[in-house]
Amino acid sequence: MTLHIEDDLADLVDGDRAAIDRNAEHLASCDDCRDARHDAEQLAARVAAAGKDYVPRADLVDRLLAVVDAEPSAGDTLPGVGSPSSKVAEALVDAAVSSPGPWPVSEPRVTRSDRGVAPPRGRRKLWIVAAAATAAAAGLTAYAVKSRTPAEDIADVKDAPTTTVIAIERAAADHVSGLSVRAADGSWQPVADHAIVPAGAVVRTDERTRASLGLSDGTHLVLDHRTELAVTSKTIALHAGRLVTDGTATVHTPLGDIAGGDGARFATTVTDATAAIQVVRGRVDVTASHGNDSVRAGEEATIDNGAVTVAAVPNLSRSVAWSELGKPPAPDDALSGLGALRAYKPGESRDRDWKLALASHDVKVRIVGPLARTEITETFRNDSANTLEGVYQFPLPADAKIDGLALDDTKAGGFIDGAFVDKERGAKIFRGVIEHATPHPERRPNDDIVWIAGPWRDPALLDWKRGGRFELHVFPIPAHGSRTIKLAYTQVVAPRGPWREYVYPLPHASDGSTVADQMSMDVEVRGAAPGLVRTSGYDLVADPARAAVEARTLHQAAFVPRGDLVVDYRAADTAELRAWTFAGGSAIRPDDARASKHGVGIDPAVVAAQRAEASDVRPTAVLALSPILPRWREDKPRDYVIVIDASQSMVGERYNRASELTVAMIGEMDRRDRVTVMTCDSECRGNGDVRAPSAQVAGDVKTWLASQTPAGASDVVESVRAGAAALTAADRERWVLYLGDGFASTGFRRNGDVEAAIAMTTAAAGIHVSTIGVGNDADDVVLGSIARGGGGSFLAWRPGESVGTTAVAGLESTYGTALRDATVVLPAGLADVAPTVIPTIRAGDEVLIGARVTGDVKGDVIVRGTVGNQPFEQRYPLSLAVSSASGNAFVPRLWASLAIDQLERSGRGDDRAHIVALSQGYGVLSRETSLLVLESAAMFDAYGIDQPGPRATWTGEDTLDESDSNGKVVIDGGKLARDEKKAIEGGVMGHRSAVAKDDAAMPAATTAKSPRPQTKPAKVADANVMSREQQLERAGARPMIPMRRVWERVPSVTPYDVVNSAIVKAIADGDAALAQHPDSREAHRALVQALAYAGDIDRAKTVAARWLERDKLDPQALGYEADLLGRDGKRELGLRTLAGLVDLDADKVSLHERMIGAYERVGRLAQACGHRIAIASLLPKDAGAAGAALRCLRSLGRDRDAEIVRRGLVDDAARSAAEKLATTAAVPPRAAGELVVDAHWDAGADLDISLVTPDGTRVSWMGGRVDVVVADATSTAHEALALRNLRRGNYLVEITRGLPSTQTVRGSLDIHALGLHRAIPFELTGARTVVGRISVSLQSHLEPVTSMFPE
Amino acid sequence: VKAWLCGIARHVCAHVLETRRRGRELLEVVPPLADACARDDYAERQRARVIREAMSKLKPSERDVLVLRYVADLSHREIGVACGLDEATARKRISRALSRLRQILPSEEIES
Repeated sequence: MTLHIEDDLADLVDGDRAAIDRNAEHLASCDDCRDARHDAEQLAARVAAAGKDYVPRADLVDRLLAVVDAEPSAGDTLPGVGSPSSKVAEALVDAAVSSPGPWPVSEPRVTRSDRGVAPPRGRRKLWIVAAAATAAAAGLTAYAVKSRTPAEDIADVKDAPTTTVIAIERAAADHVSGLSVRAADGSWQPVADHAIVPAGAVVRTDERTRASLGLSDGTHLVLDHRTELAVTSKTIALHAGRLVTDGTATVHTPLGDIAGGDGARFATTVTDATAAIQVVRGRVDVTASHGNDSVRAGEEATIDNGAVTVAAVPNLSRSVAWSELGKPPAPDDALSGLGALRAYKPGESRDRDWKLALASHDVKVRIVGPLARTEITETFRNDSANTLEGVYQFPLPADAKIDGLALDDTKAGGFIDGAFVDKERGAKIFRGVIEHATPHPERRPNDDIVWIAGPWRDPALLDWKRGGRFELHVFPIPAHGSRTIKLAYTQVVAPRGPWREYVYPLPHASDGSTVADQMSMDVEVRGAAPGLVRTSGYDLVADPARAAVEARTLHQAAFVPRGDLVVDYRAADTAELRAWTFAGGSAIRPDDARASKHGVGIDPAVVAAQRAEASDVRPTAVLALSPILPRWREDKPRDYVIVIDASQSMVGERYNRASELTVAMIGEMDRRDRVTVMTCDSECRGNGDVRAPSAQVAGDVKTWLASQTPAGASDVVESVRAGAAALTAADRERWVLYLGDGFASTGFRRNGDVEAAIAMTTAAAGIHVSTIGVGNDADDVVLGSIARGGGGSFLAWRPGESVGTTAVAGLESTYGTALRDATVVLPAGLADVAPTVIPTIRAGDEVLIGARVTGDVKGDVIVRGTVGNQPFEQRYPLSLAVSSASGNAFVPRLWASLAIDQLERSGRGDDRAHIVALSQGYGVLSRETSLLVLESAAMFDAYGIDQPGPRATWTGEDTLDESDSNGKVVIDGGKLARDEKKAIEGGVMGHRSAVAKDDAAMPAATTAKSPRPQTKPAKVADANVMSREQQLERAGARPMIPMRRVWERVPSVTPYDVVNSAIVKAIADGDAALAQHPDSREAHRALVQALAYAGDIDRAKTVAARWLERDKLDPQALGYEADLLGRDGKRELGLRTLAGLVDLDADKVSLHERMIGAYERVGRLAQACGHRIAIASLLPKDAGAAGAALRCLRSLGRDRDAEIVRRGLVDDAARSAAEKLATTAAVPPRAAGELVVDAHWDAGADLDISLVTPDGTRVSWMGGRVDVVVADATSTAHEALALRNLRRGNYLVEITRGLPSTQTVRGSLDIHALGLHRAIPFELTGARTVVGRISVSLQSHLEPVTSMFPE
Repeated sequence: VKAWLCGIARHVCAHVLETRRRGRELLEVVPPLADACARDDYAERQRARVIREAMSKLKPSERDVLVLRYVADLSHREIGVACGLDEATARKRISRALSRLRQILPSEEIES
């Protein structure tokens, strides 16, 4: 069992979704780990059950309460301070020792003192004691029972009930209510949960309390801290504070009235001077002394001096998240601690319990205006006696631009900076260094490594993994020693209204594996309004020594992360457009000598592209645009299709979570809108036409979703397209909301392809797509691409966010406060713009645009698009001067990273070299590159890697040289100037053309092969030759005739009679083994195999289902289940289940090929084509794979999709070859081979031939062997199945129905096996019948050897 | 509050019990073996005994967290408060304790 599984056992036993997701892949491949998990579950149940015989004393609670009454001050003791009452302790101990079954432990009797009341986990019993003790501590319950307060007297007025206290949430452990009602004498009296407040009573919350109230008409109110109001039957008089109203009620405030419409939900905040109303759902009418207006979901109205103004409000969901009382978000262990630190002994592939720890973690943050630079210094300490390789996975913000990695120099001191290298090459070099540093007795021949002679040590490698996850490898960490790394990244700090919010990810720790011995943080903020810098999450203190800046620090030993560090600041000045420039010539030119080295994996195309970049000395510019958007005027009702990813990877908690979110979203929808829901894998199933949202619809959807079975591979593009096709009402705003983990396993998989494919479907139809990521490791990039292509927004379901908050945020992304179909026209003097397509900009969002400066820049930046389907145009005067200020040194890197993003989105295979070149030239990490640190200049030289040179460095400690501008709305309803739009595209096309020209002039790229020493294989060959020579010598010495044993396969074909006795025994053994080990994986497998072979499909399915219940992601169990469903005539579900294997391992080409075969045999070409597209993206250099994908796509009329596949090929040569292959018709394979089974029957039934192999698996039209050929799989009179090779063993030939029927079918099987032919008649009355048995045995004989060597 | 009380009570009880244990023999109630129900009950109790014995071989700190988690059904956070640990360490300790218990008990005992 691996260490990380061992450390996660507690969570796995609890069924913790995050832990299961985190370990699913590993569990699927590790039998030991699955067994450990199972055993742990058993043990937990046993421990809990071990106290079932305990019966508490009848007077336990009374005695405890009596003790409490006698000593009520126990509750005054703060946790960890002082001692509890001795009487309480005595009572607890007495309760504990009354148990008849004592624990053999010395201390904690109290924990079982309440066992025996019945529940297996003993909670209720403990609860009695704990509750009593808690009451004792508070002195609350007992007195509540005995002495009545005036408030309770009020609560007893039951003849006029209007308002009920639903819940009180108080952020203190003082056991005070915090919610009070004003009594007749003017005093405030506390109110308890469930109390009834009479009409007209004034209630208030204090500074630590929130409360929810239910009105008799169904309206629900939530009061924030320090809120005071009076409730009558239909009206709420809000005197002060903040209130969320859900229902058709009117809120009176001193400044105006707010009338909620049908089903409205809105927040009202009242201060002395202003009132603000934020609408979450529906519409409200706001009336003040000098005006009134109607406010819709996603908007905020402000009443100021009697006037009402309405504007879009960003992040509305966060604004009302506080109102979800009683639902504290469970700690979501999306990411463990500061990261996950694992240790490996060099040469071993599995981590062990090595003593590797994070000794220190120092964070230095420098914020200037909207930019931040973060430097992290971490020291790893190895307490073991072994030299270790540390593998550290950690989260970074999604927009972090990593620009540096350094490793301490163990010889000379100081740090060695890392270099950017092609990711594939970096991995090979790193492996090569470790391989060399730790020689193995047997070198694995399949490792492709770059091998250089020399002394090897001290590498570090940093890679992007997925989403915001990065992985750092450090080697060696010496025994009883330590290593230190430095990592730096820059980012543009996200705006949050007038504030900006910097976040350093430090999520909740789940395993404590990376608790830092020492933690320090040092934050400096420049350019913030004085006094408007706030830190949250940790107690940072201001540093008075640095008066010129806002400085905050933290130093803490034994640091345990408990959430992100957040720094909020308000900029001293704000502008809608900001721009920065920096002088050109920032790209590093590749070193000629190193670039010319051979055999070290250097790609000449990358070298040439980097040279081209380095020779381009044009300055760079970055523009940050955050347009203030007007309130939209159109108010079309919306139609939604919520598409839920129901593929195999969503099985379990993810699907449940997505279902919950769907139901919550329906609950939060405007009642004028309509909605329907689909579940999709590579095909979709819908629950009917769009309907108006209601509680009943939500209930129906919940039931329907529960009836759906997640299975199959995920085709995100086809899923979104199916959703879009269901939206036909052109008079409504149409939205597809996609909920899933973003794992695209079939169809288009690369983010650029996904974006393009979705854009071509939705743009013309006027349909928008937003996405919500489900699961901790959801692929944000693919989900972002879907949203980008669909003109919507991507929303990550952040750990800790509730379903309700996420539902509101998801809907908010569809409201009209966004600039869509945006174009930006830049003034002359700017070229090579990235991005070329502007994403949807929601109110408050900021978009970055990078460009080269080609001349004087003076003119207007023109932003156009639509807001709420109304044309929008804004102009921003801009004048740029090229700066060389050190404060602007971040610009070239930021430009390069924007250019890389643009190239990745284009999805062109040709661009890979350019991406690597930009990354290496400008020193910014991409998905195609890694950061590699090597020990010395000699090593960099040996591998032909450029050492990091003196690039322009940005420290975040210098003032920015900035241009800014605010715009004016210029037109409403005008048309776009298409020529200006073309100007941008032309600029980018020119850029691409230049690269293409450079590429054409370069030699073809070559793949580095390891020049591994050939000594081993040579020795093996020598040994073989010597052996033969020795045989010859021996043959010469002894006059014997050399003979060789020849093996032959001998077939026999017989009609099937009964189950073989060996199988009967195997079933009996399997039953016994499973009875003994009810959750053993191996016992399940053996029994399923035997039952499947014996043809006991029902039992085999039951056992397989239990196996899958134990481990939903076990690929072998899934394979058996698919086989059994197929044999049972459940074609559709069997096929989906089989496709689920692809979802578990989407990079495995053979699985895609199997699905292609199966789908094509039953004529489902669209699904087959999806898998062909997936293979083409997996093998971008394989013209054959692309040719097959082109051919199938064009045959389906999907020419534009074919163009996306074509574009993804690496070069024109591959494209030409693919085109040629695409025009060549595929020759269907002939049903021929060592085994051919030919079935004929009465016409009218669709039957299938199954060959049941010795291991109980099925070979059929669904595949099962790579060499199977099936003809006429959908014929109603004939089918043929052939295997090219027939191996030893007993096979059963079975006939099954493809479609349910009770008609008797008669026919005959012609079986040709290894030259033997036999015809066997059959009669099918049920779902299936076993017709024949084919046995292949091996027989041998000796033949004289005529020659010692084959000719 | 629950966890805090458990934490304090845990220490106090340990002390009081230690004092009392020296002078008192703890008795086990053995049911009559005449009928099937009683036999099942006894078998159940024997299973409990096996677990208790195995748990006696754990370190006290490991035993604490298992009992608090699976008998008292405290959350990881509450266990952290009760035992003076951070939540992550509590979680890890439970995991390790389960693993240790698995090593102590023969596999057939786990399945029985």
